[in-house]
Amino acid sequence: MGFILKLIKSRFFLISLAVALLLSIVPGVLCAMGQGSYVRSALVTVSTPFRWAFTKIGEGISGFSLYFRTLDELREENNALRDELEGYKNLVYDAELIGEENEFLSSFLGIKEEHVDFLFEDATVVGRESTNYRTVYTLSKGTLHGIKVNMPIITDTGLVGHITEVGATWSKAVLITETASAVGAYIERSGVLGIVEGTYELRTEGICRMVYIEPDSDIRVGDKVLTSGIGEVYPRGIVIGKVTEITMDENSRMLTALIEPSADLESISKLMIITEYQIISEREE
Amino acid sequence: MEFKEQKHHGLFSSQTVGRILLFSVLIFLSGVLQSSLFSAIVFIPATPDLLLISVIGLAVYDGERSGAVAGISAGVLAEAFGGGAHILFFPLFYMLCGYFFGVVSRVFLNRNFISWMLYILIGAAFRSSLSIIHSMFAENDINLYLIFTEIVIPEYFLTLLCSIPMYFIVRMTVRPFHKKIEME
Repeated sequence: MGFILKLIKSRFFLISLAVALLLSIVPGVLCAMGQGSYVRSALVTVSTPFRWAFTKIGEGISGFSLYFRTLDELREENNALRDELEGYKNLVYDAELIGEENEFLSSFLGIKEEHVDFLFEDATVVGRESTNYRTVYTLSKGTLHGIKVNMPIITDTGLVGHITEVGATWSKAVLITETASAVGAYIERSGVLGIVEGTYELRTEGICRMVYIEPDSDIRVGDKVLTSGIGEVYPRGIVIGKVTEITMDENSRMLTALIEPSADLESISKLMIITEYQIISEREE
Repeated sequence: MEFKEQKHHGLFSSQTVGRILLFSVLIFLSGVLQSSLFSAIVFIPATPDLLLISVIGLAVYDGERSGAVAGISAGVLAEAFGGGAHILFFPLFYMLCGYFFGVVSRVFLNRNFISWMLYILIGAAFRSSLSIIHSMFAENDINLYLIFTEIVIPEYFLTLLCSIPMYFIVRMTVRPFHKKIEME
């Protein structure tokens, strides 16, 4: 208490208090009366250049920080856009796949409409084992999907081959260009019959041949070759390919036609297995 | 501990004139920086009270008389730069701060860095109280939450932050007149 009393009794403190009070009230009152204080005016005038300079420095610092902040924002935006772009790329990829599948299914729908008696099971090529003598394709469907040996395989463009071996979830197929393949066929234009088979020489070129054609048969280069339905494997009317060359066997005096398969056998990925069809026998025909 | 008035030299002694000049520059620059540089930097949410720091610094390291005079000067400057038709009692506030911390540091506490931070903590709290009073008078519908989050708390912490470099600046300013003050 004595300390506070002594403090308050201090002449310097009292004078300072009075001056401070005076300087606190008078300028405000003068300003409220519309008369500016000379001291205040002088202080503001003197300080203006300094305040201007420091304000500019402050603005510079703000601008500098704003630059980095904008850079950070741009970086974040860039990352977000990258992610978005990646998402769109995936979408495009998915759309392409869906498009391909759609195209595939549409084409098979056409076949289905053309052959109402066919039942199909779609499959994907999951493996391709190639040796010097033979190429075997592994397909994604097996007995669980109703696949059996000797079921024909087609694409939307034509005949591919047939099933040779079946597992629970897989099956193996040989192409019409392989030596193990023999397909009853006829020329669409003239009805000339023959057998389409593969040979060691021709399979490397991706073509096959039609044999047992009578020498006086009406057959020309460019003729379309279809399955005849003779035998127990292939139904009638599936496109095999077209005639590219006709030669005569000097020994047998029979004609041989080289056939270019309609299906692109080199790059098949999706195909259809015909699980059921109506066999039209020679007698019925 | 007994309170004795601070001894003073003659008003026109060379040491006193030098002291007034140097301290005036410190107060003036603090006011200018406070009202220009910190106000212009957009990412600083509030303006630290450099004038208060300078006044407390001069009071602590040069005594309550210097603190009081510096306080009155700082108050006038604060009103000149930031005042208007309102009576903000800045000269009174800074004078009281200057005198109070001058006495407290001389009689009760030390002049080391810890004590310095304690003075600033208390001084900034006083300043926050004054800010709240100003806000209450300035606005009819007062939003205390907004005042605390937008003005009082940022101002308080920025003042504390700025007091760290100001500790060294004030000591360097006062040092020519107090050879005994060693940098801790």
